[in-house]
Amino acid sequence: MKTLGRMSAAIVASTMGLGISTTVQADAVSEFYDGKTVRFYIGASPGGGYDVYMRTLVQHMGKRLPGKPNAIVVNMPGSGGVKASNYVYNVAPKDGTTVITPFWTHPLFQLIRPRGIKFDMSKMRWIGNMAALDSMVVAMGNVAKTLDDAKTKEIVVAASGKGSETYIFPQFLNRSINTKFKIVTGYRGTAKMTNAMEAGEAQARGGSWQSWNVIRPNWVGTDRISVLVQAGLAPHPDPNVKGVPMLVDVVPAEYKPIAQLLSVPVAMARIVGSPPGIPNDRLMALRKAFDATMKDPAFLADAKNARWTLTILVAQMSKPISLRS
Amino acid sequence: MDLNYLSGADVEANIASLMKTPKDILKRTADVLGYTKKKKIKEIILDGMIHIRGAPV
Repeated sequence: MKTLGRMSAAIVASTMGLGISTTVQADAVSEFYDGKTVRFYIGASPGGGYDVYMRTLVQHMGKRLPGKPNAIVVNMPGSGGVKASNYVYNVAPKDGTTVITPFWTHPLFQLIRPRGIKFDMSKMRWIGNMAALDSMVVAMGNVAKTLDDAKTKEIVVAASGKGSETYIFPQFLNRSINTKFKIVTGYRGTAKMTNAMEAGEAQARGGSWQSWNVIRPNWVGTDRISVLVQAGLAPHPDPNVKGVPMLVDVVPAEYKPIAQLLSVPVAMARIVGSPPGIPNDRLMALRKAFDATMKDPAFLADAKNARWTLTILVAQMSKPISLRS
Repeated sequence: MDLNYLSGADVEANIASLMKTPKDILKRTADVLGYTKKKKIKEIILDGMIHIRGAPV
């Protein structure tokens, strides 16, 4: 009994100690954030898919941060989002007041296109991933119905930069199955690309399917647009794209490993992180706020209103994916 | 609606895995996407310069 009593006392003391330690830590984090501004960067212009995701997140996650700091979105478009990622990794404060959603291509690009890249995504401190997406190539309905149409005539594709999915998939299709996409870069964001399509300046664009649901929801499911191909780990469950071929299925065997490599990162298409160097207690606070936000009914309702079409096989990502040649 | 988010630790593990992609796949991908094109042009120019420099005077 005596031993048990001593053990109980030790457990109580230990628990109290842990409690005090956690409280002190929480107080320090809260004290740090009090009166500060947390900046959530995106490498895209206002109005596009990334922007809508981030603004919805910030609106809800900001309220959950200890110390109730201001939480604002900073748009820093340029070079397929690389400008923002470079800035956040190298210049922005690393004290817990900087958060970014880099383009989904960035972890891949540091491996295959390192020129201009001044970050290491494997050293970023990740807070979480909002959603898995499908990237698709979509043409005006009166221009092309299928990928075969794109093999027989030139189709002008609006794209942002060579670091963007809006360039990657049309370019890959040109090289692998001889489509005749004429890729015109320089458009800042999917909203402007879509405007160009509407004006007749371009005839197609790449980008996430989600962005269509945000930018032109009234075009989705109509003859105005044709979805030519989709990337990703599995077919998108949206009935509006049922039957659209997967990228990995339309290319010859020698191109399939590349198609898979390009498709994997879209399953982590809205990753949220802070630059390396962030103090661990503040990272934990950001993760806690993020995790709670993802389960918040008010956030889910706003995400639904913002026409997020969140889906697709995140379960497959519970184990890291490895590629073999 | 099911959000199906990934935790920060999950993202870190998946990116670490992506970094282990075989180099031959990475190189072919870069070639196909045209990311090595400028390097090739530079090499061609460099070859030309070497030729000019090495040409008999």
